[in-house]
Amino acid sequence: MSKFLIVDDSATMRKIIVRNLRQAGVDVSSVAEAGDGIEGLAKLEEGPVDVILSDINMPNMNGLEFVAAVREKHADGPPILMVTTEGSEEVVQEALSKGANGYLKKPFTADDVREVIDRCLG
Amino acid sequence: MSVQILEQDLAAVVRNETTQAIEVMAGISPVGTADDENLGQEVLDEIVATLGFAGTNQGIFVLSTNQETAKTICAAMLCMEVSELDGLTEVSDGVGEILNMIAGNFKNAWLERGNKMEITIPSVSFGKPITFSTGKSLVTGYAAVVEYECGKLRIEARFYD
Repeated sequence: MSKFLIVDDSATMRKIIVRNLRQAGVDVSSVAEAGDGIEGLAKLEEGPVDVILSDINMPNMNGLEFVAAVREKHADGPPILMVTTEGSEEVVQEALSKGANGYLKKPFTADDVREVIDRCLG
Repeated sequence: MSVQILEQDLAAVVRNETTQAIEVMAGISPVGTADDENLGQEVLDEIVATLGFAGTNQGIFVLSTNQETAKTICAAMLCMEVSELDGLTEVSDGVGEILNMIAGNFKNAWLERGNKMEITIPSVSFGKPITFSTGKSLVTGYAAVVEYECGKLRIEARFYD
């Protein structure tokens, strides 16, 4: 059973991600949600999570800044997957260099989610 | 100065990213699409989402539709019945997300052509005609109307000088 943290400024997108995780057959025991990177960091202080899914374009603290901040405190985990429309090689490489483990491009299906989760979690 | 229509490849990106976003996220396929040559006009519809961009060019993307169509699409995205939607909050959010996907994926195509583009977070308004005033001239644009069984929506990309 896995605990997820979903970081996205769209409440609707957070719900869609959860729906797709469950449709994909991912074992979701609980979900924490945050509207931006600052809230995401605060959620991590409340307790550990198994997987983080984060948007990139968010107010206050964007996803790239969030990944860097998470890795500063938790260098070895949890895995962070970027969920975003940003598809340029430059942004992908920046996210990975800051410590993201994978990338899910919007729009996505439940199968896309499953593939990225499986690749990330082995 | 007359408005040039966006080159065909990029117009196709606007059109295709619109239909793909809704098809993938909501499972709803279009029954028809048509180009709309009325560019840069006041936008009259019940729900209007806008998203700005700057870089090599500056401009906006505009997605507009009526409430019923938006509710049907957003409910499908959430695997809910329309009656279960939380008023217009989830509709606003869902429409904004669709526009975010259209603009974000257009940006990828734009960048591949050696251009620069940064996009804003979408904003959504309800029930009022929207007029955009920038003090700049609209030089290039493209608009399409996508028809679904549940109604129509319109996507427009405007590039200013």
